[in-house]
Amino acid sequence: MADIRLEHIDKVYSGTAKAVDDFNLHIKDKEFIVFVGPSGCGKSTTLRMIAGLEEISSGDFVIDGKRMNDVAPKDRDIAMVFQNYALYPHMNVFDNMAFGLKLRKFPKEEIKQRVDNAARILGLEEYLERKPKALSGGQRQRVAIGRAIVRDAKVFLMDEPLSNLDAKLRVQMRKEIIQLHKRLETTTIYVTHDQTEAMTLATRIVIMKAGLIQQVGTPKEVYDHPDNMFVAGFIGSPSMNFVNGRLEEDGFFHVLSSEEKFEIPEGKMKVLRERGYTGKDLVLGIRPEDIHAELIYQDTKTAHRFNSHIEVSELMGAESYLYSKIGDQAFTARVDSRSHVEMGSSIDLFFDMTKAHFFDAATEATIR
Amino acid sequence: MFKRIMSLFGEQVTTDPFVYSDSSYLVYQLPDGLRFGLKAVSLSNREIELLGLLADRVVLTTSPRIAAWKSKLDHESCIEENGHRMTHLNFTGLDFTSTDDVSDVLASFFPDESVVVPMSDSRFTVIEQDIAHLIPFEDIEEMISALKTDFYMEAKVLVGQAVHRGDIAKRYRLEQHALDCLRDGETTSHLTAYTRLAVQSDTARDELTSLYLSSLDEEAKRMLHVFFRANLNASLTAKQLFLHRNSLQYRLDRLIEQTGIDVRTFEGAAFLHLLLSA
Repeated sequence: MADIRLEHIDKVYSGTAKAVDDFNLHIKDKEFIVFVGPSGCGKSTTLRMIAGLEEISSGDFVIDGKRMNDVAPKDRDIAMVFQNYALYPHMNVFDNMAFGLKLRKFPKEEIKQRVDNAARILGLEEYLERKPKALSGGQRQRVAIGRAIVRDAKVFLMDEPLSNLDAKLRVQMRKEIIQLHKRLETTTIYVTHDQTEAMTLATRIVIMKAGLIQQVGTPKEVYDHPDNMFVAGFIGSPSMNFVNGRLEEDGFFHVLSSEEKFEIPEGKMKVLRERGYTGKDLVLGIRPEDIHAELIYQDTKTAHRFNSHIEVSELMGAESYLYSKIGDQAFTARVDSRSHVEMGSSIDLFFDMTKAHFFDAATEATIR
Repeated sequence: MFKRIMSLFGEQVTTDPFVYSDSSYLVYQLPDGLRFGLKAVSLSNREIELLGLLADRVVLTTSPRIAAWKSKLDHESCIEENGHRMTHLNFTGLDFTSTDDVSDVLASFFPDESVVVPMSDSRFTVIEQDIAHLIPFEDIEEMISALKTDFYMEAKVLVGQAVHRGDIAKRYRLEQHALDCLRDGETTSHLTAYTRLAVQSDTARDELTSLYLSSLDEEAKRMLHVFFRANLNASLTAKQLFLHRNSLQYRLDRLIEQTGIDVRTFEGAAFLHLLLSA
């Protein structure tokens, strides 16, 4: 059981701007929270403050109603997994996993029981006698996770634990972490800069930029309803396309430095009008998968047809990425590979305007 | 400072080594060298933390072997006839109740004939005596990572130079000085730390120059200058010095033997270049 509250948390290093600025988050028991954002956004600093490795400059950090700001890291009942495996090279797998328990003076029988149990969960039973050097990268990372599991801590903190693994292993470990969380149900806070990891692992995602929370929500919420252009662009791969333009009196979105104009579906138009955006600059956002190449879309009322000159095309197997421009603004379409076209050719692409997002050009906030 | 401590803790304080050597005392050393003991039971954790800011906590060693090594390091000068390498560790955020556990990990990690000398609550020096079988740098780095995870702390680590014979006390002070130039979280070789030390302190640079360059003759120094100017290109250096490449190689090998610094590596070249250009 771990109910975590971070209230108005700030981190200030002497003489610099705030590394973390007014961070507020309530993490419920059994949640898998992922902090995601670009380098330097404050996600690892926040995690380290939770672990007690960094002092909290101001604000309250509370676990199960108890303020933890001044509690020593070892007394916080938190287990941490780092990016760099962190195993003792001179100890075998069993001793590596048992070490934290030995430190806490657990009885021998209980240590053995807990290590054996963790080894079974992680598929490490046959490697218990091996030293870390005789293990593969994935196995070593599993031992590092095992070191955290045996502690049976209230909270797991994971700081980019998969970044040292190759792409294939990362996908496999991702799956194992999901299964592990399902089984143990330990409240977990996971830091990554990889939005795919965030989307696949999290029950809720916290997206950060320059020390500030940009949005908190389930993967689906942040993907479908981003609060601002940063979130919209950061979550999703390839990232959302942004087209600058202006909403004119005629009710069309006129693309900047181009003759192209998009008809806006009635519902969205109503919101834009009500918010007073007529005659103002806007940014249209559309995800690559919401731009289609199938001719059937020409019959739909809400699809905007745009004859596109394909500058680059990438065949990914099941799908194709087509790179083109509206005026001087680049966009990417993610189409079925059956619609793949070669570079240099022209093709009609259909923008599904029901899926379009509109952002304020000045504040970059989503217009709702 | 001591008067202030006396006024705060009164009868709980003693400067008598016979009294404070009892395990119920915590022993501290002030910057002026004065050692005193405080009865541990009379101190709260917060007081222990604050005292740590004013004075260094001293761990009194009970093993005669550790005490003998500690005494060697405390001397002004002490020639060690056998080969050795020191690894210096300075931990921040280490809970003083975990000092013994950390010491145990270090003792189990380094080979049996090594000795772990706790210099204070948070500073350790490990002396390896079998320089033919030194622990690889990468293993030390890995062990430190695991240690940091288990004890929720940061560490500065300097892996010193392996020497066959030399003044261990003098080298200890120099390496400790260089250790203080590192940032938290850094584990480096002595050369990286020395380079940083030489940049920060003229006195230290003079000491390092005397340690590493005094045994070199003018010809060797000239060879180094040309070698650096030729971007460590041996063929070009040999050509400019009118030497056969093999002769240059022989001289470089001799220089490496004399100084213990591989000038063909970036780290070694950067350090010697800094000393030569002073």
